[in-house]
Amino acid sequence: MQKNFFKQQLLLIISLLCMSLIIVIRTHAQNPFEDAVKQLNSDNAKGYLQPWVTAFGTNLNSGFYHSADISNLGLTVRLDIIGMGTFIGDKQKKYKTKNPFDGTDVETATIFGEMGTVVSPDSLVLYQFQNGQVKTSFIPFVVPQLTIGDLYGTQGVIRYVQTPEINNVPEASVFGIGVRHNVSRYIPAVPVDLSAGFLYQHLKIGELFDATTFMIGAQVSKSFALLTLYGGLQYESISMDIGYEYKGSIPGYTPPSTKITLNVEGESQLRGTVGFNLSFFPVHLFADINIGSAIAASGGIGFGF
Amino acid sequence: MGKKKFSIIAFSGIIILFLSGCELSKYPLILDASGKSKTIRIDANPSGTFSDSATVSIEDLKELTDYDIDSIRFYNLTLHVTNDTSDANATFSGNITVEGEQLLSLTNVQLSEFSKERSIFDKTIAGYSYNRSGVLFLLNALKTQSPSSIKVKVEGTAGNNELHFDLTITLYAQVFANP
Repeated sequence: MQKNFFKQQLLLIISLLCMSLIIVIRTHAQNPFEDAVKQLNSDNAKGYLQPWVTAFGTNLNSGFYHSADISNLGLTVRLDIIGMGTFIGDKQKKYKTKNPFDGTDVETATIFGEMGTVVSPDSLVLYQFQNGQVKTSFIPFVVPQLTIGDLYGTQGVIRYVQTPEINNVPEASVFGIGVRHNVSRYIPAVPVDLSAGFLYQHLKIGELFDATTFMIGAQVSKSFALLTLYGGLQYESISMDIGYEYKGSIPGYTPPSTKITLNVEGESQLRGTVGFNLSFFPVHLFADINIGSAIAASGGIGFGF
Repeated sequence: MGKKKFSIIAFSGIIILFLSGCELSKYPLILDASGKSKTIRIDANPSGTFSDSATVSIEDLKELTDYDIDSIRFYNLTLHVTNDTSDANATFSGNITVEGEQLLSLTNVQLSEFSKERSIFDKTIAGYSYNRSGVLFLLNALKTQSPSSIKVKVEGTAGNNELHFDLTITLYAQVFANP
């Protein structure tokens, strides 16, 4: 019985890993996506891509913790497979740019939007801004996380995943490192567990995108037998460097170089998290909801003790 | 509910959530065809006439991408003056035609207006207006890819000053492709 249970868990993990590969391929590496970017000058690229950058940052900064309970000295080794997703609202589907004919402000589609806005200097000629290329209300991602501790109330966290280049689909990799520390040990009278920590991550997708994320936050949790309820507050940011060969043309605009390098900052945000963890030693199931300037959910399975 | 069933339900939920993910390339990809430019040298004495032409090829627009091309649209034509050694107040009058169709009329227009790239649709320049027949010709030529090249003719008369400049004419189009 126990053997079958673990066999099924293993199959589920393999399915999740396969899916993460497919998702990375489908979401980030299609040529139409890169081709759409290459048509944009630096100002338009920022507006067009910023919601995508923010969604990625929100995803990557999710699922860091599932309890605030860290012992002062003991052995913790836990591998979590974390699925996360950020919801894309109407606000993320439009940005403001300039009309190429008269320089007035125009609102048009981001990468998540519908059709690009059409502007016209008269009734004869039409110019259409780039169409949205990823239609979704949800951006998913999966990442494995290894937690090791506990030493003086401190745990270390490592995240790493890499997908190879397949059929012109660029390789993608995520590396993250974090630390969490038990704060309850300094205030023993508090009836809940408290901890604080930070997480730094580096994401690279092909030659076009190179991002770093950072989060710092405080966590609280309370355990009831198998169930742990947890929550927290964190401040987070993402910065993505985008480099590409500009292939578009705009009347009156001559780029200093066709090689465009720009930095897109995601919307920095303060985020609140509430969630639960169920422990069926040594298997753990967890899920949480995250509310900030973007709304995200994460959930998954962990193995370890 | 047993823990086995619970975990299967929980992870089926996650899988469904992921599969509800992304739909890519629902709309055509819009490629800005790099501006097709030709430069004409203009030299004229005071009150003298000038006339020259250039041919802009448009047949390679369909080779811009490997994707299936849905349509090609003309959206702008611009004028830009460089290497200008004319008098600062130089003016000129004339017209620009495309394959014989009137595209632009100019009457006593200040040459200095074109020291930066100007659209034929610019409404801020006095004595400067486009003609519908020329615009319709360009729209149709790019839509049908016929003819494969377009002859642009510039002719006019200088004002009271000599004219010495290069006039660059640039054609802009958008290519709608289905990835």
